[in-house]
Amino acid sequence: MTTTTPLLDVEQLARWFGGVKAVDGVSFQLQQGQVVGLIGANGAGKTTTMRILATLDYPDRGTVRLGGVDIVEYPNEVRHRIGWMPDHFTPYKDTTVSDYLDFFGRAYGLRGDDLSNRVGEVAEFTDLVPLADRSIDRLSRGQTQRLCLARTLLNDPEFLILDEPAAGLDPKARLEFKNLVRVLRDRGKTILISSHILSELGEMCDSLVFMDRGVVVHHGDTETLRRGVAANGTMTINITVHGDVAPLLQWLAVRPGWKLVEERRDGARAEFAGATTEALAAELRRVIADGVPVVDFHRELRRLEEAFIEMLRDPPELRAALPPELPASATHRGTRLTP
Amino acid sequence: MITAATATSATPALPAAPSPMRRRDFPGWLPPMLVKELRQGLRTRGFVGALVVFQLIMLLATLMSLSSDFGPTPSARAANSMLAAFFWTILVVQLLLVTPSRALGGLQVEVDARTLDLLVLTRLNAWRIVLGKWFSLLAQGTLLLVAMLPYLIVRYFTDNADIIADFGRCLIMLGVSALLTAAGLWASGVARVLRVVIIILLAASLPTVAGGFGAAFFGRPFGGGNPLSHLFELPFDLVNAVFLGAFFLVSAVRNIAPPAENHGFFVRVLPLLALLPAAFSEMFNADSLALRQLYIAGGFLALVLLVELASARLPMASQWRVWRRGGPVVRGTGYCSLPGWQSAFAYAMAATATWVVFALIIIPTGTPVTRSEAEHAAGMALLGLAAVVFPAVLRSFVRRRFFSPVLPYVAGIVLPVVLSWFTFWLAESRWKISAPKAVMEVFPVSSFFFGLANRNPATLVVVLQRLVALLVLGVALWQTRPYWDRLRALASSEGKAPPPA
Repeated sequence: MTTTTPLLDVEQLARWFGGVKAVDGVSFQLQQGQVVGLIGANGAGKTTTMRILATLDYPDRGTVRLGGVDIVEYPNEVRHRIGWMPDHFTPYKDTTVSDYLDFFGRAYGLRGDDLSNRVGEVAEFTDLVPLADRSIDRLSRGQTQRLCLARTLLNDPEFLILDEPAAGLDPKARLEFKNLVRVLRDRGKTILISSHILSELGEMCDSLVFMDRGVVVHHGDTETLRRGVAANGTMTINITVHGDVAPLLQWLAVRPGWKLVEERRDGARAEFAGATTEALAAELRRVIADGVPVVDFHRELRRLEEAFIEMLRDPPELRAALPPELPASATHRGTRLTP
Repeated sequence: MITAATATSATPALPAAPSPMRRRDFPGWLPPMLVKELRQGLRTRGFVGALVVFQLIMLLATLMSLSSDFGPTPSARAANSMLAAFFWTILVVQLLLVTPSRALGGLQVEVDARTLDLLVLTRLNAWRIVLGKWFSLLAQGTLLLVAMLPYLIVRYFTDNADIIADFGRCLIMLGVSALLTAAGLWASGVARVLRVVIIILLAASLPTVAGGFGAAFFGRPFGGGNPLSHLFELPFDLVNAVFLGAFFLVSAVRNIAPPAENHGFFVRVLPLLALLPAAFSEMFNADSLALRQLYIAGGFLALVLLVELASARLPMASQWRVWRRGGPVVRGTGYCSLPGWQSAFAYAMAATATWVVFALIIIPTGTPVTRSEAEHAAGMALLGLAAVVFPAVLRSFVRRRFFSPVLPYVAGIVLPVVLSWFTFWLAESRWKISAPKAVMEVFPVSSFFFGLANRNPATLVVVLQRLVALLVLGVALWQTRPYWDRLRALASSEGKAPPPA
């Protein structure tokens, strides 16, 4: 992550609906060109946060700055820089794909050749040209999402907010969508994506923001998160042997801390959980020095889902125990407070 | 599918051949919302089907009329009557029923589909969305009207119809349709229950509205009477219709506008503008016109106040900022233009005072009974002001967690009216129970209706009525204090984080 001025700076954002705190002191930053995933269970406050960032809702407290402009105070000044793709799409009746894009192009102030060129560009980019005359209520889910993305790109925004863009897509459409996001990132767009499909977010995103009950519980890059310690405070290495598994089994019998994970006809896999990286390195050196025919070893990465579930285990009493001058949302700045 | 070319190029290549994405059906200068609505509207089965069916019916009726004997024979008269009946029925149904009915779903479609968010992020604002829908519906109505015009000419030959008069009637109907469509758009953006109430009220008032417009536009220009006086009244009625239409449209705009936008000034200035024609008439000694316009403006003010005082919104910093930095007049206008019943109350006081000043000038010159009439009007204005403010005051004491905020407001209007009717009935019945009536005579809201009904009440009743009215206004003033405190807090927090709601 660079140390330049962030494109988006969210500070102590709060939004209450009656007595319910949908968003409670959320703070994070996005750098130009970053793709950031926003993760949370239903009701975690993702959509509310995104709607505020898209100037569609107003916070009860806190500030949001896009390129230094306060979007709460001056929403009209920043709207043209934001592309918003909501998690729902209700098609207009009796409207074709080209009508739809033409309308939104006009609505963004494009006219004449600019309009047709821009509509053509985004349609080509999202591969909608063959569907130009198709009624939008007859599009598949994947085509619909591509249409939504095309609409979002019409005004060439620098900051894209995509709320659950991959929801309901088949694997092929999901892959296509992932590629589109990758291309957009290459073009320097800053993208905030929310999704329930964490593995995909991990592949697409530079960093992840985990939200739980209106609070940011973690903000960091995916690698750190996956390499991070498990809930019991251990890290794991995994070794694989091919061919004769007897030497490995004999060795495992005399080495405490090792566990056989899988035994096949042509090999076996074992793992060791240690509290420090030094302990893991020592065990690796030992297994090779003892002549076990290891063909592969790697540090076990946690799945994002596991990391996410562990985040949710974060006991409320831990947050309550935080000193008053350190709000719960401050936990995202560094490593998550592990239970 | 992503091609390698599209996936790797920094800027996608422009299509070499004419793109199938290019639309050429509407020119670029037309408003986007109008284009979108026309594209959708003209393609709907309802519109196309109705156009075809109406043309078939008219064609059939025309053929029957043409095939009948020319001249004053019974069969010819019957055929011509049928042609005329079809012609007017189709126009009335399409312009006065179907078009406003379609408007009733106009904004709700966007609200239900949650597409307003997408539109708000474009350069379209709430005004352009509402006006686009309104113009589109009117354009479709006009298209149907134009499609019917050949039959108007046919009627000239078969029935000796007065083409000019009939064309005037068609235009009037289009005007009424425009007004009802605007009202429909307003109703389409409000809560479902309120929408039903508005639809019922509109349906109930449709004959009156249509009749009024008919009398105003049909009878006068084309009927008998003094043409000079008609020439004067016609523009007044047109101006009033424009004000009412503008009120409906801006109310529709407010239903979909983002919370940070404030359209209060536009809504609240309309009844005051409606007073200007009265002043204009007075300048030219057209007393009866001035008096008529004064009462129309009073009724319009009451309608606007009832809507404005129903608002429970709180002002936002961005809304107050545009007024705060001006001089005393600008700030004063801002106080009267912000969202919320408290600001509407300040406006109500100012607007009623303005109306009373006009009344004190116009009424003495417009009626034989001079001074007492003017005083009565001023007294009724006070009772009327208390009547429209009372529901808002009542609601300000009710905690939101127990009731929907609309309930106590509606109860504050409906209950006194029902009770006054009931007590009046008791007093007039054979039991002659007049004590409740005496109470209702001085009670807010009902006192206004009793004041209208009884032009010469006892002095004590008049004094009590006005005391109670002043009491209501005093309590309202007291209840608005937290609102003005919040406004001061907004001003002091300008540039900092907004204060907690």
